[in-house]
Amino acid sequence: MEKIETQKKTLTENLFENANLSRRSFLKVSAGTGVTAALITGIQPELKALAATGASGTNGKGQWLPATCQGCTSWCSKQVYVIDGRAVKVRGNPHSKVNLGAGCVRSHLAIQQLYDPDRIKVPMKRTNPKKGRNQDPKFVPITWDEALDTIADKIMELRDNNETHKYMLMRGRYSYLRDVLYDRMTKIIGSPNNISHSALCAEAEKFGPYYTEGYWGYRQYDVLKAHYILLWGADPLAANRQVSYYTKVWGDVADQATIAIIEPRLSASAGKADEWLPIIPGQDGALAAAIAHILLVEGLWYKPFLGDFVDGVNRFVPGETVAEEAFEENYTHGVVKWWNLELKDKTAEWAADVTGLTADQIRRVAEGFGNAAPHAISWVGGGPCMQVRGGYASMICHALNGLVGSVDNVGGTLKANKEYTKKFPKPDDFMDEIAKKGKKHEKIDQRGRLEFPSLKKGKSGGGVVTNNAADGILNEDPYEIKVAIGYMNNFAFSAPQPERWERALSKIPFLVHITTNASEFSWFSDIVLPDTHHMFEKWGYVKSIGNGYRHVTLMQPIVKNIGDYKIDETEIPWLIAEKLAERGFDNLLRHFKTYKDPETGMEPANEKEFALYALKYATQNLWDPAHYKGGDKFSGWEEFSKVGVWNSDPYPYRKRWGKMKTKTGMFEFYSETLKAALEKHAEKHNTTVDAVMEAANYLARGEKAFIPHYEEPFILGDEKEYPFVHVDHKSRLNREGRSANCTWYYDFKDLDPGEDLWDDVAKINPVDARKLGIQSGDRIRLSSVTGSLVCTAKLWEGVRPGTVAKCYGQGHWVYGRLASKTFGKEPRGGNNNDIIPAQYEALSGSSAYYGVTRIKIEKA
Amino acid sequence: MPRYAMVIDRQRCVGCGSCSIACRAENNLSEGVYWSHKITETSGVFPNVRFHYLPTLCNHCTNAPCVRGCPTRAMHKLENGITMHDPKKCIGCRYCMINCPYGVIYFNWKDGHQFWKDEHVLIEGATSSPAEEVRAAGGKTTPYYNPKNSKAPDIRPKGVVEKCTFCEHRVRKGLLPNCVEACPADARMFGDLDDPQSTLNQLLGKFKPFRLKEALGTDPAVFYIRDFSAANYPRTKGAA
Amino acid sequence: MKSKIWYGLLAIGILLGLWNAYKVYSVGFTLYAKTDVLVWTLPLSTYIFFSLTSAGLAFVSSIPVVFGIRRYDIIEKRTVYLEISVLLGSFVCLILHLGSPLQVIYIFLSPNPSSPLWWLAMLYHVYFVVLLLAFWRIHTKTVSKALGVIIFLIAIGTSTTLGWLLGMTDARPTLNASFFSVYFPLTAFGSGIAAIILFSLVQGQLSDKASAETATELYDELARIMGLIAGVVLILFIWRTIIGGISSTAEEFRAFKHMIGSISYHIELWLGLVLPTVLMLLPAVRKSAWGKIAASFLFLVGMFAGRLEFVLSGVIRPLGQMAEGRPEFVSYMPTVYEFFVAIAGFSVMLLIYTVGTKFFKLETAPKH
Repeated sequence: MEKIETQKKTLTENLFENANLSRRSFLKVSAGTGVTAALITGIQPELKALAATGASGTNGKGQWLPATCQGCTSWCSKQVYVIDGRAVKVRGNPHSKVNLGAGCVRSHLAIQQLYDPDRIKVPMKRTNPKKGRNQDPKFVPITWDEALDTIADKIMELRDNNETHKYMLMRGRYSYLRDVLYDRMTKIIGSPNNISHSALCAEAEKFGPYYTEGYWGYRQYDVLKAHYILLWGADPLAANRQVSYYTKVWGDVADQATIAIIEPRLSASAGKADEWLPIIPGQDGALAAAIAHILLVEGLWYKPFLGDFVDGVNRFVPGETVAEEAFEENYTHGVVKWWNLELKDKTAEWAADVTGLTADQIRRVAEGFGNAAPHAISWVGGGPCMQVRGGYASMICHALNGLVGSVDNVGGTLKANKEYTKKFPKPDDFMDEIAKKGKKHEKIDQRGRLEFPSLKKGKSGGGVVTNNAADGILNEDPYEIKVAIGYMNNFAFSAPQPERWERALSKIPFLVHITTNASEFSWFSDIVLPDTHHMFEKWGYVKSIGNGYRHVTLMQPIVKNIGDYKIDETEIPWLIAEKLAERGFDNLLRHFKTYKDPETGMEPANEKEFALYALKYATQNLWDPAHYKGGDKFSGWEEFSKVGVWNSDPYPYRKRWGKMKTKTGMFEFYSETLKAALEKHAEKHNTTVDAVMEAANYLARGEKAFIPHYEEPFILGDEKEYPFVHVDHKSRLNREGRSANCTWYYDFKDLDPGEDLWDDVAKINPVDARKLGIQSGDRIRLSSVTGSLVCTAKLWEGVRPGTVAKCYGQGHWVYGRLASKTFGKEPRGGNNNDIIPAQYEALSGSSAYYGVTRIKIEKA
Repeated sequence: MPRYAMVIDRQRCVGCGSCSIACRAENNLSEGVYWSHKITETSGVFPNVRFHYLPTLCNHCTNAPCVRGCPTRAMHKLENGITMHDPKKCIGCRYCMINCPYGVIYFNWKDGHQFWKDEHVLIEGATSSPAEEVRAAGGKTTPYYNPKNSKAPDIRPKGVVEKCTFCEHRVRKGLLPNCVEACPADARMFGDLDDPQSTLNQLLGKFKPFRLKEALGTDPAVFYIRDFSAANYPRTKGAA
Repeated sequence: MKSKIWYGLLAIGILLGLWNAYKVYSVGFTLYAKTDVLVWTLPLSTYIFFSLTSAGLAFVSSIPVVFGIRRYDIIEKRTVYLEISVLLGSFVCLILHLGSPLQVIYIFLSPNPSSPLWWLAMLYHVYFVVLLLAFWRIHTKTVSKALGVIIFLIAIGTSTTLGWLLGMTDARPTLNASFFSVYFPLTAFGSGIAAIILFSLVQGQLSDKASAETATELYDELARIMGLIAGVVLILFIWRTIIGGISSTAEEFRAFKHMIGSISYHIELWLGLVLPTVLMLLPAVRKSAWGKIAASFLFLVGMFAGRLEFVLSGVIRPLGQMAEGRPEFVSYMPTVYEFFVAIAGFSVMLLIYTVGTKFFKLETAPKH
C-alpha cells in the first residue's frame, strides 16, 4: 500500500514539473497559420504576462495539470489548477487543436462533482434484501476485500454452473480503456452481454451518414469556411460536441455564414442565429425534402460533386419524373431515383403545411443554402434522428450535404481524422470452453430480432438496443440475468420509461454498481463500488474531433483522492481478476498480464500498474517516437503525459470523393448499402424488407426503404387527451445528468434561455398557457401515456405553441442532497424520462427521446 | 500607471456564463453572489423571437457613485482605475448598493458557503458531510477554495458588501482577470486605456462602443461592442 | 400597577431587540426580508422616522431658545428630553440595520467628506453630545442659547443631509434630491410638534393633573401649526404624486408609480395627512385634548408609513443585473425580526422617556 502511494506521488511530482514545457509547446501550436493563429492570439496577452512575471500559475503555489472533461461528449482536453493535490480551477488545454484552449461553462462544475460530499467514499453493500423503489437498501460500508470477494464468488457460481451468459456488464460513460472491463472481461468470463449506453446517446444520428456516405460516427463541421449552416436539432453552443470549439469561433462564423436553426424551442444557438425555424416536432424530414426539392428545381446543386444533366437542361420540374439516363452523376448515386421516388412533389408549399413554417422562409433558407454550395453545412443533430422514425430523417437531412457537395469538402461536413491508438491484446486465447459457449448466446437486448434490425455499420444486430435490455431482463427473454455489473451508467434515470429499469434491476439477484454517487441505479444494487472521477482521478484516454483535427486526450490521476476510489475500467477488473484467480480461474488475470509496459516490457504487478500500462500500451503509437505514425510527435511517454493531448494531422479534404465506404463508393441518394443491410436482415428472418419496415414501425414500402425520405412522425398519445407535444432538451450545465448535486448547477440554471434559478420549469407558449389559465410559477403536472412528473410552469415566447419544452437533468430522487428533495424518496424537479415512453428507432436501436410523446398539463 | 478597462464583444459572446462560474471559483464566491453576471432578454413574439445576453460586472466607473457615497472609504478607487472594496472598513450600511446604478454590489447577509458548513451525512460511514469533505480535501470553507494571496480577505465576512475587483490580485501579478482568461469565446478583452496602441483602443476606435447608463455620467470602464445577435434579414423596404 | 405593566411591556420590547441582535449577528441578516434588491427596509425607514422626528423636536425646542418666543418655555425641557429619547431610538434601529456596526469607528479613522452619510454620522455624534449637554444645562442651571443654536443648526443639517444622501443616487431619481431636502425638514417639524403634543397630552391625561391654562392654549397653537404643516405637506405630497407618479415618463419613476397603490402610501396620505388636516380644521376637535392626541398620533403613524413608502420606492425596482430573473417590482413584507427592530426602537425611546418623566420633572419651565 505504502509503495503504491509513493509511486503515485512520483507521478504527480513529474506532472508538477511541466511549467516551462507547456508554454513552449503552446507557442509551437500558435505558430500555425490562418484562422487558428488568429484565434490563438486572443489568449496571448495572458501568456505574455506570464512570461513577464516568470510565474507559472496564478501564485506559484499550484500547477496547471492536463486533464480531460467528459461532462458532455465533446471530450475536451483540459487543464486543472492543482494546489497540494487539491483541484481548484479548470481551463481548456491550450495544446489541443480541437478545443484551442477554450473551456466551457459545464467544465467548471466538474470541481463540484469531484468534491461532492455525497460521493461514495468506500464500498457499500445493501442490508435490506428486498429491492424496489420504496425499499431503502440500507447500505452499510464494507471493505474492498469483502466487496471483491462477494463479486468473485458470484461470478464463479455462474462459471461452475455453466451459465456464464447470465452475467451482464452495463456500460455508461467510458474512456477508451473501456474494453478491459466491457469487452475482454465479459468475453473471458463467457457472456455475450456487454450492453453499452450508446443507443441512449445518438446512434440514430449516425444512421444517415452511414447509409449515404458510409461513415458511422459523429461528424465535425468546417464552420469557419462555411457560408451557410443549417442546424437540425443541434445546439452546439450549449449541448454537445465541441461546445468549446464552436463557442470559441462562433462570433467569427456569424460574420461569414448564415446560420439557420431548426428546432421547436429557441435554443442557445438559435438565440444567435440568422434564421430560427421553429418546426412542428417530428416534421424535419418534410423540411429537408422540400429543401432538396428546391435545390434541384432551381438548379442549385453542386455540379462538380453531383454531376449534371447530359445536355445541361434542368429537368427537375415539380411533379414530373425524370429519366435516369438523362443525368450523369459524378460522385453520387441515385439522385434521379431519389427525385422520382420522393422529392418531385415535395414543394415548399407542401412542406409549409406539414412543418408549420412559412413557404417563404423554407424557400429563403433553401436558396441561401444552395447558393452557398459547396460551403454549406447540413448539421444533423440528435433532434430529428432520435425519434421513432428518425432514421430516415437522419438520412434525408444529411443527404442535403450530398446535393451541395459539402461532404468531405472545405467548409462542409467532415469525418474523423486518422489516429493511431492501439487495440488491447485479443481475448480469444484466454476464453475457455465455458466462455466460448456462453458467449454464443443471444444478447439480452434482443438486438437483431425482426423488430430490432439495429443495423450499425450495415450489420443486422450490429448495434445495441440499450433500453430494451430492461424488457429482456424482465421477461427473461432470451434468459434470465443473474449477475450484473454497471459502471458510470444510470439507466434507472437516463433511459426513457425508467420505471421498467427499476423493476428489471430489482429482479437481478446480484447487481453491482460502480459509480461516484449513490444513484437511482445503485438503489437496486447489492454492492456499490466507489468510482474515480474521470477528470481528476482516473487513467484513461478519449478521442475527439473538431476544427479539422482529432485529438487524443489523457485522463490522469492528478489530485489527492479523499475517498477509497478505484478506477472503473482498469483497477476494478484487475482486482476482480485477482480474486477469480484465487478461486482457480486465472484466465482473466493472465490476460491482463499481457498488457505490458511498452517502456520497460514489465508485466503489471498490481491494479495501479495495470491501469497505467494499459493506457501506455493503447497510446504507444502516439508517444513512442519509434512507433510514430503521424500527428504531434513526442519524445516519449513523459512528455506526452505532461502535455496531455496528441493532435492528428490536419484534415485531408475531398480524399473520399468516389471512395466512400458505401456499396457503390459514392454518396448514395439511393442507398445500395441500406438495401443490402435490410435485405440481409429480412433474409435472416425469412421475410421481406416490407415486413421489416412494418416491424420497425416505418411506413415506407418497396423502393422507398432505400432512399432518404419523409416519414410521418410516430407520436404516442391521443391528441384530444394529450394536446401538447413534449420537447426534451439539454442544459449547458448538464454533465450528462450528473451535475444535479452541484450548487452551481442551480445557481446558474438561467444560463439556459427560458430557464429559472433553483427550479425545474416546463416552458409553455403564453398563448397555450392563457387557454389553460396557467401562469409562470404555477406548479404543474405533465403526463403522458406512460408516466407523469411535477414541475413549475414558465411562460416563454421561445417555444412553439402546441409544444412544451422541458430541460433534462433534474428529477433525481437519489444521487445527493441537492439532486433529490428528500434522498431516496422525493425528486427535486421532474425527470423527463418519466414521461417519455420506451420507444425505439429500430433501424439503429436508438431510444426515441424527441417528438415521441404527447402530454397534457394539469395544475399540480 | 495604467488605466484598466474591459471591452466585451457581444458578437463573440455566446452567453455561456463561463465568466460567471470562473469568477465564482477564482474569488471563492458564495452561492447567490454574482460578481460577474448578465442581463438577458427574450425579445419578440413567437415565431419572431430572439434571446439576448449582455455580460455584466462592476463597471469600475471613473466617477463611481459607490465610492462617492461610502462613509468610510471602504469602497475606494485605485490609481489604476480599479474600484476596490476593503471589508475591514465596511460598516454594512449598503449605501453603495443604493448608489450603484448597475446592481453589481452584493451584501453578505450570512457567512459565505453555508452549504459547506453542514455536518449532516447522507449514508453513514460511506459518504461525507460537506464539512468533512472540506477538511478531507484540505480546503478552507470550500474544498476547492482558491488562495488569492492578496491583502483582501479570500472570503468576505458576513455583514459587509462585496463586488468584482477586476481580479486586482491577478492583475497586480500581470495576469488577466479570470473571467477574461476563462472566456472560451475571447469575447472579453482587458487592457490599458492609456496605451494608445492597446487592443482596447484599437477596438474602441473601430466600433462605436456603448457603456451601460452612460447618461448618468458614471464613466464606466466596461465597454461593449457589436451585437449579441448578428442576424441578417431579407432585404425589403417594409410595406405600406 | 399600571406602570409595572408599562415597564414590563417595554422590557419585553427591549428583550425582543436584544434577541433580534443576537439572532442577526449569529444567524445572519437573512432574518430580515432578505433579497439582494431590498437592501433598505423597515429597520432603516424606522431609523429615518426617528431621526426626522428628533430633528423636528429640535426645531420645536428652538422656538423659545433660538427665536425667543418665551411662551414655549413650558415645553422646552420635555421637548429636549424627548429629542434625546427619540434619537436613541433611532440609534437602536440604525445599529440593527448596519451589517458591521463595530466598524463604524472607521467613520473617524477613514473619513470621506464626499459622502453625505459621513456628514450625517458626524452630525449625529455631535448632536448627541450637544443634546445631552443642553439637557443637563436645562435640568441643572439655565438654558444655553449657544447650545440651542447648535442643536437648531444640526437639525437643519441632519434633516436636509438626508435629502442629499438619498438625492445623490442618480440611478434612483424617485429619491428626488431637491424635493426631499425641503420635504424632510418640513415633515420633521410636523413630526416634532406631533410628538410633543402627543407625549405631553398623553402624559397629562395619565397623570390626572389638570394642565395649566397657558399650556392648553399653547397646545392649541401647536395643534394649529401641526394642522397647517399637515396641509402644506399634503399639497407637496400631491404634487410629488402628480410630477413623479403621473406626469413623468422616466422609467425609473415607475417604482414610485408602483408605490402609489401601496398600503404605506395610502396610510401616509389619508391617515397621516388628510385626516389630521381635516381634524385640525375643526375647532371643536382641535380644542379637545383627545382630538389633538388623535391628530398628532395619526400624523406620526402617517409619517412612519411615509418613511417606509419612501425607502421602498427607492429599492423595489431592481437595477442593472439585479433585475435579472426578477419581476420589475419585488414585493416586500416585513419579517417578524424587522418588526422586532422597530419595536425595540420604540421601546428604548419610550423607556428612556418614561424614566425621564419620573426623575427629571419635564413639565418644569427652564430658567434663562
